[in-house]
Amino acid sequence: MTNQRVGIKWTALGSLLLVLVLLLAGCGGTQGDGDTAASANGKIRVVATIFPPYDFTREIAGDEIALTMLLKPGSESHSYEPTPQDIITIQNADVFIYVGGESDVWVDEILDSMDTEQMEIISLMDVVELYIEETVEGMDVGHEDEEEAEYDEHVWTSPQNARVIVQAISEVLCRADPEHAAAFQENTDAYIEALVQLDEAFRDVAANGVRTELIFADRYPFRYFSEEYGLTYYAAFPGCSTETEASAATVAFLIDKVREDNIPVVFYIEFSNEKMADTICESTGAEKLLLHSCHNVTKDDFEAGATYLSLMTQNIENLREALG
Amino acid sequence: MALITCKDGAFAYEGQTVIENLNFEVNSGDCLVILGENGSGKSTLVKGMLRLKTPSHGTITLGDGLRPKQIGYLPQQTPAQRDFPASVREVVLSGRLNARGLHPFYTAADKKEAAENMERLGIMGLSKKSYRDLSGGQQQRVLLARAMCAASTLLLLDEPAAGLDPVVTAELYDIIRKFNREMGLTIIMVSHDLHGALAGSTHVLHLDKTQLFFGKTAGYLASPVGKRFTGDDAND
Amino acid sequence: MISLFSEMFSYVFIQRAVIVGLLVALCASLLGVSLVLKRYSMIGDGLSHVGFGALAVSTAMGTAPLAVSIPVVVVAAFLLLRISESSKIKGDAAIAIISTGSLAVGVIVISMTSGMNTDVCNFLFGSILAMSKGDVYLSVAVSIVVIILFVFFYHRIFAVTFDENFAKATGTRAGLYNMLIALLTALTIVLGMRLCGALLISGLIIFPSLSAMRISGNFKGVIIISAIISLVCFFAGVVFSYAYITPAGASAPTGASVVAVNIIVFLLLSIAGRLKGVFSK
Repeated sequence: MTNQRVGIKWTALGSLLLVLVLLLAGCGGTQGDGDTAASANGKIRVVATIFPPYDFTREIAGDEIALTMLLKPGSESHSYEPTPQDIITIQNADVFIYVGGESDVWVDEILDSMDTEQMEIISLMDVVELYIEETVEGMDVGHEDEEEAEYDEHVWTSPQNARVIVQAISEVLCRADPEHAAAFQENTDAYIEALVQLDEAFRDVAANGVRTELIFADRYPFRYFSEEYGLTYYAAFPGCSTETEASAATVAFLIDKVREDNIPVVFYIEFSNEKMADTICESTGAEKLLLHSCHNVTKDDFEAGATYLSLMTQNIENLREALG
Repeated sequence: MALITCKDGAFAYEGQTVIENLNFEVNSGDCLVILGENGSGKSTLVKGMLRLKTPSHGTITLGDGLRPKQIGYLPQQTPAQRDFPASVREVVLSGRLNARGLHPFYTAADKKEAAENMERLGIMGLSKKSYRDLSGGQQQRVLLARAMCAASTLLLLDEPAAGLDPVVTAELYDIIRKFNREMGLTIIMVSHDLHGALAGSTHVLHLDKTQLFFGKTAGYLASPVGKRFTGDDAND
Repeated sequence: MISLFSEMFSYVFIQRAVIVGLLVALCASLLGVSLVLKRYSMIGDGLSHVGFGALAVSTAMGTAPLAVSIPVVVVAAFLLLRISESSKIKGDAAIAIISTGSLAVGVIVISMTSGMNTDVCNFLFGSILAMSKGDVYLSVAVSIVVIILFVFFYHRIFAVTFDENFAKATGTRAGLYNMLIALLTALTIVLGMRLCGALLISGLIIFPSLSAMRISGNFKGVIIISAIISLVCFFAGVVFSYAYITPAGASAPTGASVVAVNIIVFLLLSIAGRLKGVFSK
């Protein structure tokens, strides 16, 4: 009897220890760029929720501001929950940039409870034209809330929209930090040039392609992109779906589509486990390629200095292969 | 030579001695009744005799060619068993398991032996019925048949009448005594049911954390312990 | 019907899922008879939670999932068996510690590394895409082992399941057979977990034998009927999850569908069992 009692004690202690160790290891500090205590330097504090606005702001303002991104590199954007730290960061911000869709409902609640007199706030979805999320044939809809139509949040995927957004952010920054307005303006102009070139490159690929159909073995965050360039698509799940289990019927449908329309490339998005892409490619001989929606980047990519431009440029090549 | 000899035996759990001063022997043809209240150490001794527990002191030796495989055992039923989906035949046959070594299937000889034992216990007609559909008394007979299949030399019965009504109990004891007298089967029966168990027994071993008495039944009834125990019981 | 089947089976991923699933269902049902009768049903549940933890950790570490999960779950099987043999009350609590502890560790590890995402949900609820060619070979190998051992040791397994005390007393090494059953259960669970989900795999172990016991009173009958029920329910579950799509476009995941079919069969057979009892009087 003693042996078993001791055995249970050790198992319980061992498990407890393991849990504690993991908790401590995970608390290795918050990721993200920027000095939250930078007021001493006189830099304004800008907080962006996700990668695209963070990157745009970085391009416009560079080192003149203290910039923070709330979503940690490497995390899944759709399961983001603001921590108490994050809320304090927002509270101390001079400029706050968020997206504004279904995932950002928490933002309104927080801003309501704060004194935002001194804060410049901008929501990406306020500055561009929006599309309502749609489902196309073959999609696994899962448990979508069918009463309320939701707007598709991935507004930045179209370089045209990116232009508008960059302009809007620039104006807000200039208002918040008039001292550096001139520098901001210069950077903005240069960046918009780059975005225009990006836009032309995509337009070119789309126009000269053999086909205009995209197949996604994942959810589909590129609505604004495909609308801009006249492309059609089939995907496993709609834009902000949190579905993870692919239904057999959906996979079968996509396999059939690829075969029917002779599609050479099946796309997956960032942070995907690529299982569905593998399955479809195995059954059809297609190649799987990444189309990065820039929603968030991996830790490695972040540290290597990935930007919206660099990621989208890679997308150009993959798109070219897909469209022929 | 005695089938089972116990010299100065004692058993302990976690360092605490549960029963000690055991000195007795069981010879071929005996019908030994082990008496004692709950907690007196009876089950521990049974485990010891079955080699499921080693004595903390002294020895228990098997003699006269007796091997563990030759001991038939009727354990106390667990609640889970009463509800078990198994046919009577399956249960009885399972007693033959260790007689055959590594052979995976039962032979014709096994099946014959099982049938004979079922006959002896009058349950041949129940052969295909499900164990869980039987009455308590019938279930005990099935388990007894199984015990007989496991051994033809020595039967060890642990509270065989537990939970059975008086008529069924009496029938069961009759069968057991018949096996002892007519077949020469050595019986060791653990009980705290005085009257039924004692009749027909040849020896008594009375335990209460230590050995209070060992000897022939007549001697027991005449002894102070025996008188006290049977006397007390009659007064209840 | 036929056209539905031929359509379904033209896809390689479905072929694999069905092969692995049927084999896992078969093994699970055989082992399940013994586990349920020995009142060890919680072991199946506990092991699946440990398996989840192991899968989560191996994903975070970037290693091959089976290489980590199989040893971990096998070790857990031995541990759980030890614990439940000691004393019934302590056994339950200790199983709960190991079981929920593994679940918690798994969730924490995953949230801290890549966030609650696709992989977690797939581990918990299963994914029909999860089976690779290697998985198919492995399942075939494990199933053959399970079936051979089961056939060869059938009578001993019966003896140890029906009456462990008696078996031990008459010379059977009950501890060995218990370990064997635990080991085979661990393997079956690890194989089936990625297809049906950690939360639901124990349903495959428990339900077929419970259903079979409603209508059969002898052990052989229970084993055979349990196996048949398990195979049929799995197949029906897969077909349902593939073919039935609600008007809104939703469909049910495989693991849950299979368990749902099992429950329906259980209810039907319970009623049948009652009726049989009524008519035989």
